[in-house]
Amino acid sequence: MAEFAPDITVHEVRDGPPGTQVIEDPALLPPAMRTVRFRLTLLYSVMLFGAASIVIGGIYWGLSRSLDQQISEEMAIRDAGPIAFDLEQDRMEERREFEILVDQQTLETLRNYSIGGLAALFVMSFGVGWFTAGQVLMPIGRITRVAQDIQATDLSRRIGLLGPDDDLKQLADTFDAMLDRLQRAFDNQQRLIHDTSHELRNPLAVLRTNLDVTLSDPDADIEQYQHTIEVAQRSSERMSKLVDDLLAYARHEAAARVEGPVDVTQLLSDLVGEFVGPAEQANLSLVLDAEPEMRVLGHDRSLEQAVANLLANAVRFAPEASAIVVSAGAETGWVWITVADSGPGIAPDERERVFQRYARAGEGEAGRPHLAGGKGSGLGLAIVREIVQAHRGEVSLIDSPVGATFAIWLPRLAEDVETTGEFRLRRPRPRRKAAAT
Amino acid sequence: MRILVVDDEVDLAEAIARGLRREGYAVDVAYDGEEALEKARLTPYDLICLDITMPKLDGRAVTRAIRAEEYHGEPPRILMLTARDEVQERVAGLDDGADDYLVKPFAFPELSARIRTLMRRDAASGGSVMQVGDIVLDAAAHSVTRGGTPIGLTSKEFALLRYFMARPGVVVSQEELLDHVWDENADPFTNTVRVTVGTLRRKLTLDGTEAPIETVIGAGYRLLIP
Repeated sequence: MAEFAPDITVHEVRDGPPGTQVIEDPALLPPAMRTVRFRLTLLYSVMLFGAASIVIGGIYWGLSRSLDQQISEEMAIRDAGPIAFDLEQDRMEERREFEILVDQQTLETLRNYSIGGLAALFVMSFGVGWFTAGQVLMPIGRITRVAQDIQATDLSRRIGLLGPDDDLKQLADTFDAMLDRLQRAFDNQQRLIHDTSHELRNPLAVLRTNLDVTLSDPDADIEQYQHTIEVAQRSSERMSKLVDDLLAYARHEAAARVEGPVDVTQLLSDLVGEFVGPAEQANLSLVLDAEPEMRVLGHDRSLEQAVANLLANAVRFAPEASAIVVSAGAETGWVWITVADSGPGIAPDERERVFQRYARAGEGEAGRPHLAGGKGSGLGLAIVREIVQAHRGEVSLIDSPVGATFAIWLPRLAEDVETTGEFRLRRPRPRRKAAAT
Repeated sequence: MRILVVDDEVDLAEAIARGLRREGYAVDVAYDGEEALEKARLTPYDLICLDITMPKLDGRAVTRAIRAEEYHGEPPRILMLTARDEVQERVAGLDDGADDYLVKPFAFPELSARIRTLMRRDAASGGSVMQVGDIVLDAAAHSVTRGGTPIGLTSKEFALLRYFMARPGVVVSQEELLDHVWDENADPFTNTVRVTVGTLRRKLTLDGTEAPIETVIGAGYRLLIP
């Protein structure tokens, strides 16, 4: 049942109403009021309403103040003046009262209109706010829909937001870039699993057919059983090599690599020391020729694994009584490491392909008979390339008169480059200075 | 029946050949596509057991090359063996001209059953049991009876009888038998065919029955239809 778990998660995400996280209790508010759009609209309306209230209140207050002042000024003028006639005074009194009445009515009308206007403004602002927020948030809706549509197995969909280069476009583009990366990693993983299962099938087929044929033979003699057991041993060795390399590959992919200065010279001499035993068993001599104190920035275990794979390859293919030469040097901001053997070599048109996973050299023209099928797992060189590229370097096969020479280029540690006064140029062409000796 | 087994995995090709030889087939082995094509041009195989992923020339290219060639007799049946099992791979293989497809790793009894099926299409008979007169041959059980009496045959004699029973009443030449019943290790100048046919005839002739195989002088042998 475990494999269905991701599916269920997807459905949960899909079935949940948009913006569930806004309010904890979904029963409290209808779905439309639980959206960012509603909150934005409400905020906009309330702010506008508040601002309008202050402005209109100010106008009202100012107007009522100025009217009061006018009346009191008129009264002051009149009180100060000579009192002519009583009659006139009475009329004046009447007029004054009338004026006050008119002023009060005007203010009241203004107040009523203001309140009405404010109410209308609130409704209108709510409408405008709802519309504007909808417009602004539309790309977010699109992003959400695409994110919901993406299944764990299909990462091919993209948002592809058009329009001005604004915050939301940047968000959508960032999301798309993340999907690109995810898809690449996912595809890579899928292909690895796929290739590996196919690669396991060959030794399995060898094993199974041999067991089937021998076990079903009533006349099988001891020699035949012996042969079958030898075949089984070879097949199981091949499978364990494949599994080992696969684990190394996975470890390399998963390792949270803490990079630090790595002394290449030290690393090489340690590694060559480890390989002396296997080399002697195969009657090979191992030569190390490295300049002292070369450092690169990287993960020591990974780099060790990369060079070890090249060395293991060389030991496997070198003819008896020949020499394997490991050399290293520094040049224009780069550190180079070469591993040269005098084995059968690799045809020029195979040189790119051997770094691919499960590439079988010799499938095209003459070359190493079964780089993957015979003795190796077909992952060794692919791992080397992964590691070197993760260290911003490069690995390639370089021309050599005999055998195969692999060259790794790594950027030299920046401090060392500064202190030696070197500056980093483009990666120079690999040379075979030491390997040729 | 003569079969060519082609696989770059030496241990696998040898094991298949061993198993098939025990079932009475004449089996040759090739380790890459070019060798396979060369052998297929020289010998009229009844069936080719072909791996797809191979150095030099892959199985699909070999199939296309074989299918493009002209054959005097029956063209060989092709059974593809491969580690790849995607539908499009299988479809492509069959479209190239393969007759059947088996994904590695397979159970040997299944391979052998599929080979019997492919051969049966050739013999136009039903099931793995063939019958001519009172002679009954069961290819799956590897048994022969005449009038209900079991007859013990060696692998070679069994293969020879099966070849005859697929062509009852037809005159089969010595060369044809060498091509289809014996493998490349047989010496064409020995009298191995004559001797084996003789033994088979003797074993099949039970007391009070007629010899079922007759010699047609200057042409070959024929299984009589009673």
